[in-house]
Amino acid sequence: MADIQRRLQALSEDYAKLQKDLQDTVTSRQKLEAQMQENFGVKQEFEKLKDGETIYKLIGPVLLKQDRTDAESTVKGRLEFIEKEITRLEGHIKETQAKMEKKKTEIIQVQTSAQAAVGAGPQAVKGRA
Amino acid sequence: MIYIFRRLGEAPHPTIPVMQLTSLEMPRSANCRGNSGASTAPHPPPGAHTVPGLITAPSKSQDHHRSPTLTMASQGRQQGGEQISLDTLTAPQLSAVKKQLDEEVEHLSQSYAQLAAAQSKFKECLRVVKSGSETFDEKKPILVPLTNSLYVKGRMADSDKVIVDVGTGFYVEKDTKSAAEFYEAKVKELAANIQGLEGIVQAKTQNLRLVEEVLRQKVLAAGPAAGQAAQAS
Repeated sequence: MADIQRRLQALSEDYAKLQKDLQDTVTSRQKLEAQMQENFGVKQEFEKLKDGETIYKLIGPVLLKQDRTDAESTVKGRLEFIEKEITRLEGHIKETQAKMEKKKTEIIQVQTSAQAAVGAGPQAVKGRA
Repeated sequence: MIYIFRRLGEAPHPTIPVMQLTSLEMPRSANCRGNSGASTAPHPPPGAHTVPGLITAPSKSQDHHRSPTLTMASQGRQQGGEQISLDTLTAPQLSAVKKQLDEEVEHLSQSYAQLAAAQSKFKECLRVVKSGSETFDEKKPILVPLTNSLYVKGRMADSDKVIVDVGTGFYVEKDTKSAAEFYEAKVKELAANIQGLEGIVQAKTQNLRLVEEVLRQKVLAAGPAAGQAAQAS
């Protein structure tokens, strides 16, 4: 019995670890999404740019004038990078979920066997009485 | 930060997926939708015999006292998606659902407040930009803050051009008219997001009330019945 309990605890600890991992990944995925939206907004703003409107980039405490094509390619590069990161994280999320599924089945198995053992216990006592 | 919520507006109407209720599994959709970071299932205390949430079938004693009343399915037609009857859930499961819904509602309300704050900031910018000659008079002297308590006198060099922060460290020099357009678009966009979020919050609150109601009935039904059972034996 104690053995089963130990196993269950180890399993649920593993499960919790996976859960935390998933949580972290989902959080960074959300951050990336936010960044992507922001960059996307900037890109749209550049597309709407009228003549005579200049782009500045904040570098440290100063605003530096920037070429429109330069700025556009910077934002485009960022968007590409973020998209790649998102696909990577999506893969990681799927992987973790699959792992969690496996752990869950394991836990259920151990639990059922434990319950079967408990159920058989009283009956055995009754039989003896 | 505020850009996260654009996705919220597109999220499907809130439903309670079956998986969330009957297992420890935490569907990612729930996180993306409400990004409720705290929607993890409770971790069992050391030495616990069972893992909470893993109980997939109602235990016998609770099975007797099922009170067939409200079901989520009655709303299901308008909401679409996966629906399950709340009646088939046990009291512990219901309180787990309630806890999760509580967290989601809490989080969404926070997001709502943040969106409203962001919108009011943009509105303030819009007001200043639109005030025109009142603020941007080249003849009037102005005080330029150098620190919190140190000012120097100045004069507006160019009353027509403003520099607008468009995000990610980029700034664009615009005339006041085009800046006003920019802020108007932002305010409008946020208004749409706020509206979408409002609908979601309302639906979630509704769900929460329903779950609370069923839970209360379950507890009430279980109370007397348990007493009778004790008397009978």
